[in-house]
Amino acid sequence: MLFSSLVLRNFRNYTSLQIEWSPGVNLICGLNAQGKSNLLEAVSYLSTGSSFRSGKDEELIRWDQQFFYIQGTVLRQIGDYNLSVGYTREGRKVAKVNGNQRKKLSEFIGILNTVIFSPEDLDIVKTSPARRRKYLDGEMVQLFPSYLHLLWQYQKIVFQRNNLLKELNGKKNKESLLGVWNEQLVDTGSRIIKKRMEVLKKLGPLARLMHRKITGGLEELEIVYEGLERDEVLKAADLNSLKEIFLERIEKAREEELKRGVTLIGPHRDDFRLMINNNDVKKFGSQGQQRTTALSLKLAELELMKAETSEYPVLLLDDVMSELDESRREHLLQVIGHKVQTFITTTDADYNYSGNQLKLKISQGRIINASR
Amino acid sequence: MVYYYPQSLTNLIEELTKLPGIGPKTAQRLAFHLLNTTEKDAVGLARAIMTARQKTRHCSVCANLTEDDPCPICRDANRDPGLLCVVEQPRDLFAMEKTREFKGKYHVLHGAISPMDGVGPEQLTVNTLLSRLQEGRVKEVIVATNPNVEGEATALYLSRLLKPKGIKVTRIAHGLPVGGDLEYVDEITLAKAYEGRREI
Ligand SMILES: Nc1ncnc2c1ncn2[C@@H]1O[C@H](COP(=O)(O)OP(=O)(O)O)[C@@H](O)[C@H]1O
Ligand SMILES: [Mg+2]
Ligand SMILES: [Zn+2]
Repeated sequence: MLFSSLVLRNFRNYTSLQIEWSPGVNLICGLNAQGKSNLLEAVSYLSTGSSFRSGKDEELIRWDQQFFYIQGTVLRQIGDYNLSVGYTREGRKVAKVNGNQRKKLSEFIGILNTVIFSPEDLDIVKTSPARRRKYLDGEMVQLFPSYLHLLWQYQKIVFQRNNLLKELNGKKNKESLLGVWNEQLVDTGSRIIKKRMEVLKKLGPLARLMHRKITGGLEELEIVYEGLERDEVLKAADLNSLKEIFLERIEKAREEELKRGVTLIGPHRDDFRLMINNNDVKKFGSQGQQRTTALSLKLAELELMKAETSEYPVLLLDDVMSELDESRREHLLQVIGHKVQTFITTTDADYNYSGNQLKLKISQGRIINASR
Repeated sequence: MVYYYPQSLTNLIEELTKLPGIGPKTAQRLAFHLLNTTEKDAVGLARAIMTARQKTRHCSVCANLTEDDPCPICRDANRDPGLLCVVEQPRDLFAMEKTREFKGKYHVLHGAISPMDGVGPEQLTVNTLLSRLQEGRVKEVIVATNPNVEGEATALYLSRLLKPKGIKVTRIAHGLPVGGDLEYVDEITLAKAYEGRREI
């Protein structure tokens, strides 16, 4: 898959920009705060319909302007696509594929696939379950756009159910209504858990392979889904037995849920654990091991997308080259090879990747130099 | 000194802004349009609003909007009294009617179960539905609530309530987009949805 051109209007610190990208490595250099990451953000926005850095689209509009507009061309084996998104300060978002408006985000996502790797990705390994869920769900939506509906639906159910739990507290007679919401929670929630486990089943071995390569076979990485606290059943579970277990757990938690007024069981609470040689990386891993784990995850993602879509996604590397040590950098470059179109940002003006075909110098939201 | 719109115009704009889907800009445009239109058209609109409000009410049987009570559908002897289609809003009923597929009667709930909005079965016309069913003529209840989580919760609730009473309950959902609103579904999908209804 190739991302061949990008047009920006009023996006972040760019007033107007048009670039033809190289199919190989695109090196984006510049001092701090000049707009390097903003470029990657724009590319990634066309892929996911949202920013990887900000939850608010409004922040992406150039400060003195009323709208932003991003347009890009994607060349895929199955055809060429022209993607565009416009967003106004009034909150109107118009996404188009080949000039036709797409009313649903899920009909826009998944045409341009990207894997982004930035220093913050260390958080996936180091921080909260919420961060890991967000990461996993985000990747899954790119691969299976309809998964987004499941997530939205589930969120809505949890929200409604929490409202009901608060209302029910102390009123025994109305608990029959809870059953109705339990049924929906269990149905949608089980589908999410099942899908996540399916994806981790594929991502796990790929990550292990990557990790083995980077560590010269010294470390075995394993990903373990943690949900419903019954992993032995979960491993073999089909949808129906999952639903049964879920329902059982939710019935057991009823009193506690009524007391606290929140839904305590379900995929919105689940996590996955990263283990190196049977030790939890989050708790026991060194800084270096945690970095390697993040890198292995990202490279596994790249391979998973290749396996699922039969094309490599576009790789976005934001400020990571300087963060990685020699051997990890070496390995990364080796994987990229000549097969993955890559966008690398760096503050190091002298940084050169042997095969790079486009080098941009960015200053204050402008390209001041481009060499091919 | 800065001058603003005359008070009466500001009032009109504010009233229009209260309408669903109308923002300040559209309200302004509409207000100027209403001022520039003929007296006859403006009065016609005002009168139409008042007349519609005065003449329509909820049918005492099915709770649909009607000018006559009971409504024409409830009085129609050619409709199968054994089939009862339950919808959220009058607009869903009219969407269903347009398909010309359904030949039974209706019941309008005027909403769906939604704890976040404080809407439970008591806020809907569930009680009148129950007394209707007690007459014993209805053989099948077709739940055509919207295919979103609130509509689904309402359908599940009705099914749990009615099934023990020996009434067949079906749900139309097939072919409807998840999270979509029924009124936006084109008639063909809705007709298909009706054919493919399933028991719940
Ligand atoms: N909405 C916006 N409008 C104008 N400028 C913005 C906006 N958002 C961020 N910026 C500017 O963009 C710059 C940061 O760009 P970024 O791409 O993150 O920098 P870097 O080159 O270090 O990756 C800062 O100068 C910031 O002031
Ligand atoms: Mg940056
Ligand atoms: Zn009636």
